[in-house]
Amino acid sequence: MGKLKPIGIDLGTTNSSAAWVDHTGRTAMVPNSEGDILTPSVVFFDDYEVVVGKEARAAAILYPDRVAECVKRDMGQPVYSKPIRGQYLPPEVIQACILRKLKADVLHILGPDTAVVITVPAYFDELRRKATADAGEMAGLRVLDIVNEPTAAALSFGEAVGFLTPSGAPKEEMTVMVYDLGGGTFDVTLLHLAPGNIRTIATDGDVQLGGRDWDLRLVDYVAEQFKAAHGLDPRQTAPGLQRLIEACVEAKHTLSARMKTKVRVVHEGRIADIEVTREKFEELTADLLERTAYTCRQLLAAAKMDWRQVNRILLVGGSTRMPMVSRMLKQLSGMEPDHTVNPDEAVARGAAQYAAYLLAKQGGVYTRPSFEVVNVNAHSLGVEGIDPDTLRKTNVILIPRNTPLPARFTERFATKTDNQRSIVIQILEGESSHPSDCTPIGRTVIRDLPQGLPKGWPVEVTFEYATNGRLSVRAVVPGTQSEVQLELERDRGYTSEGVARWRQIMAGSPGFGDFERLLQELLHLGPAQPGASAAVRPQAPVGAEAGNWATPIGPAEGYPPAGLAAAGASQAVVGTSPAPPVPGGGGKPASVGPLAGPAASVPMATILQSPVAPATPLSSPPQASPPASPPAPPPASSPTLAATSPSQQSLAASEEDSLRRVVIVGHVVAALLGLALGYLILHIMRPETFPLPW
Amino acid sequence: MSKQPPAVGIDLGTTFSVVAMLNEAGQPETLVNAEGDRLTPSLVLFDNDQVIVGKEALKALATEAEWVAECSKRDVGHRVFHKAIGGKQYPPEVIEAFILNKLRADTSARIGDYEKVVITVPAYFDEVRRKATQDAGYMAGFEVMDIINEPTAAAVAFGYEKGFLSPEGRTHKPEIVLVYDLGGGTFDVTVMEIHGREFRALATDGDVRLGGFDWDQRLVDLAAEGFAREHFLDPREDARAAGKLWRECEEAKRTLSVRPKTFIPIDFMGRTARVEITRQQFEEATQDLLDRTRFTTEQTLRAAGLTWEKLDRVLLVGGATRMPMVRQMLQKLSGKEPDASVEADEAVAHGAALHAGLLLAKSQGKPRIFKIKNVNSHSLGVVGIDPLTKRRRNGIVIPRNTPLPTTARRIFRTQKENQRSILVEVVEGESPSADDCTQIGRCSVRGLPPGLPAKSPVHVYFHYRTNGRLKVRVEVPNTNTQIETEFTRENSLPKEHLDGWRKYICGKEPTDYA
Repeated sequence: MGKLKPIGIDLGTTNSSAAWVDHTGRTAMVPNSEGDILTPSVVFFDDYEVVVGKEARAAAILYPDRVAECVKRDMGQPVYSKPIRGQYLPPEVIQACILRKLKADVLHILGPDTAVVITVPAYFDELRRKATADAGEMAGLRVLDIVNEPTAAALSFGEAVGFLTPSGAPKEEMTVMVYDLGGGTFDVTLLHLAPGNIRTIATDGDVQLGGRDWDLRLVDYVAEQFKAAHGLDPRQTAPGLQRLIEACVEAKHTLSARMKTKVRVVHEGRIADIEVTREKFEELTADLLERTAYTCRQLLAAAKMDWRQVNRILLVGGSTRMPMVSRMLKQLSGMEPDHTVNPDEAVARGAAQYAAYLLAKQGGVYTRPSFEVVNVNAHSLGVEGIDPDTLRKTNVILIPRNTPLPARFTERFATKTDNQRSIVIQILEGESSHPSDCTPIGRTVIRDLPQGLPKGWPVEVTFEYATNGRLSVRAVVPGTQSEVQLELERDRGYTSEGVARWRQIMAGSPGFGDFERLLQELLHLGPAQPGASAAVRPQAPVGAEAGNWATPIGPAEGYPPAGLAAAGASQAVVGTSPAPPVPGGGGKPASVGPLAGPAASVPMATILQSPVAPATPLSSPPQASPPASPPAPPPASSPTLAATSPSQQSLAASEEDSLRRVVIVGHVVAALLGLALGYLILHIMRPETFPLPW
Repeated sequence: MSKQPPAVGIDLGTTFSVVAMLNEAGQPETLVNAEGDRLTPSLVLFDNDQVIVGKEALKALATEAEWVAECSKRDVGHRVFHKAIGGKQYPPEVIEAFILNKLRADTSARIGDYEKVVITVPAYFDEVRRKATQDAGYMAGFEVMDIINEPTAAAVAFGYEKGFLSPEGRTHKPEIVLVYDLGGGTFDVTVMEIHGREFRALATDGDVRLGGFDWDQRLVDLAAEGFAREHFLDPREDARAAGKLWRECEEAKRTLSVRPKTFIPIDFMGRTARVEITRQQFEEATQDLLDRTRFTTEQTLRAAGLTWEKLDRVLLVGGATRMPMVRQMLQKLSGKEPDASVEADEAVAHGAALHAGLLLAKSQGKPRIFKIKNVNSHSLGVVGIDPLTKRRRNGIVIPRNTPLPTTARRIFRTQKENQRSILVEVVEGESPSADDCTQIGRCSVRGLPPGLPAKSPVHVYFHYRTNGRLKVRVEVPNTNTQIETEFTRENSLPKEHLDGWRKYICGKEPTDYA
């Protein structure tokens, strides 16, 4: 591990790039095999090859159904929004294809001994971060950490002005606003820079706002003009739309330099040159720009600062080249935005600096780190509780947003009923006090509480949030032996086995065929999953069909359940798989019941959860879904944590599980039968178009 | 930031330009333009009252060619650019000044204001064109500290990478290096000796109208023919489609350098195709171009009095040298793996920045870390009349590839009896026939004493300085007649014009630049 080279990867919505830190401690970009610094984040699934980059982009018009673009926007979703040759692929798999190409290019120039840091928008939530880390794993990268893009940009700025070396740095400290408008995401972050120290003050953003939206406005405008002239809408065919988007992106770039341009539209044999002026373009997109301005103002308010306290505004992301952005910021702040860093390269360079910093901290490559980085969390993290006064569910925030990391907070809750035997801790991410407006990011259950605990018995929940944005949760019931600890157990996301499986595939040089084969394999294996008992057997398909889209990979591949359980215990990551614990326990409902020890109880929790997850967009058999949902939260989770007032939190409760568990199992069996039937029908009728279960 | 402005070097190319600076560690670093690119296409678009340089001008070339000035470097030294734009005749150095001004504005936004730069020119650039380049820098608001040759700059960048410029570099054994520079629009070969920290050019030659551009053209033809076979339509017929195809082919050319085949997407009149081109097809279609460079390379080596075995290294410069065919050819010729350790597109700018650093250090009284010795790339002579044939002949005073600075003398004789004046026409070129050479200036000696016999000796001295400027002295022995003149070229813009353009282009006040 001694000689790892630190690499930073900016995995962007439209373009990705890599940088490294050389032996003198300075960053340099790593060109790709085409000789470019930027690699378009576009993936073309050819039969025997997966092509990434500009060649893939060139194929977009010809094969729109085989090309994936802007996948970053779908990170955290179960599948990429557009089917690729009729198959829905998980976004992290597509991102992994991009990372694999970057990895190969880095390997070509720097050799195999590298360790990477991948960047994400500051506003990415836990789920999206994990998905990004998984993509890195699948691509076979040694991922040191995930870092926020604005932090990386600030590091790059710090490098440019000498803040990273305490000796060479200017004496004064400064507050910098990083305005990062990329292809698909928008972020704004306030940072405090002092020699050798970079601290995030606050961050805000919008994961669904970026240059792409500007493009689409232009696309709509041009398409309407064309329609008015020729009565045809070029957006209606895939190649027509693709061609139009390309022409509009080009026009957008031109309008940053020129006052007007013409967009050529060729559709159904008709040709039109539609003139767009910069003024018109700015008018079409004024509201998008205003959204970013609003976020900037809000951020300052959150940080309790005003523009006069901001010393510099850094522009990051290619979209900041639009003159309207600089002009708006100048109007708001009264100062000219800074152009010291290259908006395309700053993030990758900063990430490389961060990688060097982490390696140095581990006693790796270079000397000791000469600077410190302090991050904040972008979203509040809390627990679902019940307000004792209103008896409404409420989000009790343990770690408010913009708390410097690492952070550790403990909150006291109380049990809801007398003789409560179990407690469900539902972890939420979001600002709202209504749990339904927040993202449930995981849950855990404390079981087997001693009998006879009075109502209002204290439960202590501790959140520990690491610098890399990963959460671990600990719950203790004082006076009992009950305690659970987990690193965030996600509702959705990949199992480590799933990731490993993909990693294995990616290590070859797969084409779409290989992906397809893997999917087929999983389909065939799914229903035929051998089980030890009647109770068990149906469970796998539940996971496979309606439930967690990640799960089938593990069991389907025949990973020994024991291994899985062990993995769950040792790592307790993402191990959502519903099946494993069951065989481990003996395969009867009893096994589902009181499993002692946190290791077992962790995956346990997910059993309750897995049917809930039909967050899956899969159009799984309609008749199957009703039975699938009932066992979901309503019965199981209504007795959740009840939160009282902040000081004397009320409590969460789950309850006499056994009875309810039986009910659930009943539901599950029903659901499974339905699913299996539906699945079979579908599978027999049109196996090739059946959407994939993950 | 109250930092000293950094040392900046500019590679002002025919098809694209690059700016580099020295960072605080003294390493050269390429600066990106406002579009985020390291290479700025050297084109100027006159768009109503806006002047746009770079990528957008390149795009506009396809559709509004009449408003775009391209390849102005090829016209530098002429009085006006080869085509009128919007009815206006621009001097080529003014167009170059617009390009330089964009480079200055974009990089200033990143590194703060600066004025002092070094600009590179091809080795074969003559006096006139060097001066014009310097004028372009002035009009763009720069103070041009020096003009250096591109191959020299590339060698300096190479020497830096290899550690020749470090204190230990002194002990390095001398190396003979052949710099093969195939850029976008021009081709240059220079044989150099790197001795410790001294860079000496031994011979130089080139081809002004050969570059990656020509390779692109062949690829465009291949792709268009492929498309025509399928759809019976030729995308080259439509200016916009041809422009797009050109850009695709340029990309494809780079892909073919790393892959054995590529697909060129063509989308024309609603028809689409993905034309497959293999590297082999491409190499076959461009074999003759490659042969031209081989011919020039061998010639230069002979001119330096060397053979391939004597060479220590072949250094590749210019984006087009990424093509494997170039490397294979040179490998076969020289028996050595060509050295691609310098960044092909950026080495020249890096070397210029290193040279700028040297000059800045010198102006601050610090010791120089390396020395550059140039040769003149073209023979300089005087037009004489052959007594036998009565033809105008080129009497060479300074042969090409003479190390600079140099002073040379050649004796001519008066033509007839009682000749009262002598016309000295200075020409540049290799041909013995004066009419095939470039006339770069003339002066006359008047008021000779009467009664001078025919064939009286006339001594012509040329003093050629390192910066490529020429001083001429004419002496007629036994008389008191002697003139001395520094050549200012006939096409040069007068100072007032330069000042006017400077104000217009970059808004800066005139200086005492001469």
